[in-house]
Amino acid sequence: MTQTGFGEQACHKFRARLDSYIDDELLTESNLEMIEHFRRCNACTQEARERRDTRRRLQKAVRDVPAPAGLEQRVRDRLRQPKHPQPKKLFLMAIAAALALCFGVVRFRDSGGELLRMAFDDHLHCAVTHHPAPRLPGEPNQLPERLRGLAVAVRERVPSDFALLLAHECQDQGRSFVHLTFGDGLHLLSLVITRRENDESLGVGVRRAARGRFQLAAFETGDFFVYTVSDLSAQANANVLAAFAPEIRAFLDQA
Amino acid sequence: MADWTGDGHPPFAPTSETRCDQSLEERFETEAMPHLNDLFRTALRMTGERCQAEDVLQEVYLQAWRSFDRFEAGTNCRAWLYKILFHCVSHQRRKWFRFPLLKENEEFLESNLVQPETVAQEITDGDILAALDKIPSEFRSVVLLVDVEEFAYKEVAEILSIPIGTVMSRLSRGRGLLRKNLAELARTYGIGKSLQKDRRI
Repeated sequence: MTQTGFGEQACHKFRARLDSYIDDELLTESNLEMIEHFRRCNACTQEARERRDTRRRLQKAVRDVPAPAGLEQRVRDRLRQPKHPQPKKLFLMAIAAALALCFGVVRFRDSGGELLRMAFDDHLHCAVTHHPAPRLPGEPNQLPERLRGLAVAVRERVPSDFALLLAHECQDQGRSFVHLTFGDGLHLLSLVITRRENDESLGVGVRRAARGRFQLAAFETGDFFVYTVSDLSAQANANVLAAFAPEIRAFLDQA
Repeated sequence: MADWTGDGHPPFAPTSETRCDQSLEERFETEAMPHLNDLFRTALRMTGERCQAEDVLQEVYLQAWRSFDRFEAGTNCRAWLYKILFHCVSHQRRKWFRFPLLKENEEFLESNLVQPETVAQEITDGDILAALDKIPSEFRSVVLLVDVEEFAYKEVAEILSIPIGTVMSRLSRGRGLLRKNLAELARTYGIGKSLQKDRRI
């Protein structure tokens, strides 16, 4: 039979098993040893009490966070949705997006607002309204030779189930953009890059904006503005931008 | 539902593959749906954002429904849902962050060994959640499953697809880090300095 020791070494041994004891995961004999030790050791008894207390407080803190109102209904609604949006729905979504664009669902109040608006516009124009299809079958990378490497570099950082639908240069209101569109069958994601002009600036750090169901995240380099626009969640959209950033910066520094 | 006419997943359509006396719909309703709020809370703690947590939760229930006909009646539906949840969380993380999984670096762990302290009453639930959120996700997941959801170690091993020994070590380290974070917080409130001095062994 194992002897129940006492002193520093014994405490060390018992504390190593304390979590399992609290969780009732020890064998009966080990449990009895622990109980015997507690009878003689105030420090370990106190320790067990405090660990239980922490557990109780944690349990309460996590469980007291309310679930969002209507969550259950939204889950049920999602279960009833078709697997993929139907073409008709996509068409209606494109019209809704275009209307939102025309009537300015979101108003930008700051000086950088126009710089964000143009990326929304480009996404809506190229990726949503004119759903991208490569002009050359089988080759979505339509960028000129000097930029082709961008699509290759960025592809490495795109979520694995997103495919490159089209990479091209486009123009809107006299401004040139490099536009890469990715899709996974449900969501569309645009990477938009344009050259900074005059004193234009988005400021330091990552800027975020929303328009209707679209989320935008952006940052600037010395010479360029870089945006991701998508119908992902705001956080996911910003995360994609963060994932792209090192490759894009490296590429643009050499451009 | 009986009036389901869409062309996607018929979520609660009567099916000929029902077992026992209940339809698949009824079983999903009674076995899976009651865990929705618990799963949301865990998803929230693992993702850190309500929108993302809700996205994950919807994905969990979608996947659960798609494969519910293969779920064995009478087995632990809650643990099965948590397994799907952590699969989805892990998939999301790989998808968006591509961060390497935490390596259990002994030096890191060594530097985080702590003397435990009790949770002072001045520390709020919000403080506790913030302290929990600071723990690396590999440890946080185990702490949540054992301490909050009260799964047995064996179930946690199954949910996370890791050996039971890893569950135990991650739990110990996760709890240690939580206590450390809380102790640091308590010190900023001016609590616990004398306590800690007295309780060194």
